[in-house]
Amino acid sequence: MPRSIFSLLCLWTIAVLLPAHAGVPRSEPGQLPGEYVPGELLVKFRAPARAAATVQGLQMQTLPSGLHRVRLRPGETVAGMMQALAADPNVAHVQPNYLYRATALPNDPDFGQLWGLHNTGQTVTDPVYGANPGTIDRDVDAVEAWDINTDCRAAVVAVLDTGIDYTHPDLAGNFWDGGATWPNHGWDFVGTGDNDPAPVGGGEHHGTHVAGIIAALGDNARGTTGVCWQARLMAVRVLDAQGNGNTADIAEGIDFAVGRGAKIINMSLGAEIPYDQFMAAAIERARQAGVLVVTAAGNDGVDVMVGSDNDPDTKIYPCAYPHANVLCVAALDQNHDLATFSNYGTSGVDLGAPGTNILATLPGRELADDFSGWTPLPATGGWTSLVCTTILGTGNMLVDPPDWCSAGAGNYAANADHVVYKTFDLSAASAAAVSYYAFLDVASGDGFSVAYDPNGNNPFAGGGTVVLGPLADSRLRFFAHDLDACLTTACALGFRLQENGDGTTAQGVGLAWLRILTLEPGSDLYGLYNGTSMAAPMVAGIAALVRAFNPDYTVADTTTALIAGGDPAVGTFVGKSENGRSANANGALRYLAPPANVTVSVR
Amino acid sequence: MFAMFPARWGTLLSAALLAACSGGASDAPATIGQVELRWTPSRASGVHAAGGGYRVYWSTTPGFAPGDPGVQSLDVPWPGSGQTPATASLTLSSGNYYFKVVAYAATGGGIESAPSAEVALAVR
Repeated sequence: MPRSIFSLLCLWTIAVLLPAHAGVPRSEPGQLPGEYVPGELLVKFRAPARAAATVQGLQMQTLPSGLHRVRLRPGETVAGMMQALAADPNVAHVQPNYLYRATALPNDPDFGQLWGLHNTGQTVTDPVYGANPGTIDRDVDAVEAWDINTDCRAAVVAVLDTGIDYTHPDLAGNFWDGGATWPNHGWDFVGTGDNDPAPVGGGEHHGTHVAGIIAALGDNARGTTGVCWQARLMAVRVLDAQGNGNTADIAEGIDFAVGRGAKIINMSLGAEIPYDQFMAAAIERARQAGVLVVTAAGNDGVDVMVGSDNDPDTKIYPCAYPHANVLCVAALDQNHDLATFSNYGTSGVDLGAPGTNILATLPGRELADDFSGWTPLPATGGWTSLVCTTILGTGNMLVDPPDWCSAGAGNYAANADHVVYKTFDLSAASAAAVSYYAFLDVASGDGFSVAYDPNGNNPFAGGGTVVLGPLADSRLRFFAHDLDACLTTACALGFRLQENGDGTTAQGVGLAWLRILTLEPGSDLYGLYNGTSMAAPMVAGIAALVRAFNPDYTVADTTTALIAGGDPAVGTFVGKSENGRSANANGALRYLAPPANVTVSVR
Repeated sequence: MFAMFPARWGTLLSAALLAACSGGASDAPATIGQVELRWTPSRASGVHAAGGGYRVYWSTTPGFAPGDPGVQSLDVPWPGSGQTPATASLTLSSGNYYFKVVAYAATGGGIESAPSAEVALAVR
């Protein structure tokens, strides 16, 4: 099996892309472009009162915006039912419930580290991206801007994302007060929905990081600071623990934020899909209410108007929407070059902003495992820990057969039943998840399995719980599994490779980038992320500084200040955006529009 | 040649009189025009606060820059409360005039906008 050596660029591109795809139901094959929720359609009826008659017994949920979410019966396809409904005179518009995703990469991790706010040429500790250190003053000039304003409380910022740890000690106090109706500073629109937008899954770190970039408490002698020192953040959970959301939930989240008085919405999420009319309508309602929507360009390394598939009907949304209140942000590195993973576009991308090695608040820990201390059974001939180079880069891996990494490697053994496990202390966590990449080449009938045992024993010895497999497959996959039933001092996590006795084997399994993510709400935790998901909140924070300082500013006034007050693009960001500018908080606050509509007359 | 009247309260503001042109004060006086400028009020807070306001520039040369020789100006400062008025009144003798308006504020040690689009008026 050729395990080619790609550049670090590939590592990031893949690492950014793949986690977001984990565990997502795929679109039905060969049907409609884009990915969407299987078995579900969104419908707008001309006569809502006759909706039930129109859909003839299909389960239906009425959303606050007047749309209906229709569940299909088993055997019915989204494409087929969409065609049928579109032909009904009572249907004004019908479309799939498109899937949107968070746009960031979690990784291993004080103001001195926050180069995006103030670049002193510092070296970020334990970086997760190159270009470190970068260039002095390639930043958003936050220090200069803070001489003018640090207080964003007059402009509520809604963060539409995964759950947010609103008890984080560097965030608590900077949230919107929803009174008795919204006691937890927002709403959770995922699934059935509830009033608690806190993170649910162990890996649900994204929203808390985004929130901290906008408004970690400033000047509080703790941790980091956001662009805003004081703020009123609205926590709107529209993405689940895996960072996945859909049209219906996100559109509801937009309406919630607009209806509760948000002036700025940050959406560090996106999808490559056809024009999503219902999402567009929600963004238009925000526009009419004077709400700015700041969104991430995405991490595919492509033009937002083209995308990465070959389908001319699909683009990267929300960036590709024509609405004047959509501000799309690309990610820049510590030299203000375009980050290698960042999407771009001379049409669609409005601004660049820092988006690599960004330190901010986290709701839990991220434990990177180097594959040492694992117990293989048998002790030799099966699972082995070693350093290996793959398209993911060079790093520690856990492999079977032992020569998996060598050129001309053989297959795993006939009659193999190889187990490997290790115990982790997860007793401090309220939730936990494990994620990793698996290079799989497992023959049909054989199986790769994953299991855990909360009592620290071999999880395949009888007392464990199998979370995956036995699986036969041959491709690179990214997996994430809940460990919520394993929050003990000795949670044993194990992998198994079994041959079924037919003697047909394959090239085996290589595991890389194993991370255990936990939720420990209220803990004083921080970490580094890369992504356009980090660049967007940088701009949302600046927009809040500007709108709070100038309460009469319209959306157009705000975007004009952000763009006209920006720094000219440099390096590889030149020619990659609509305006050729990177965000600058000081420039935006100091921008003053020339008087308009001057008339002169003789009295 | 050029006399400034004292600034007055509110929209009446200060006004300027371009008294005479070439030939000295003993020449026959030119026609005097009461000129009024209006513009859309700035939505920037600093324009309506201490150290903020507008400044009207005018010249007899089209395409002028505010710093050019011979360019006249009139300050419209924040009046101390409420909004800075987005109007100015001038008294000018006959001639062709070109006007630009800037906004300014004390924000971050002092900022000034780019000049507005130029407008022209002939005083007869």
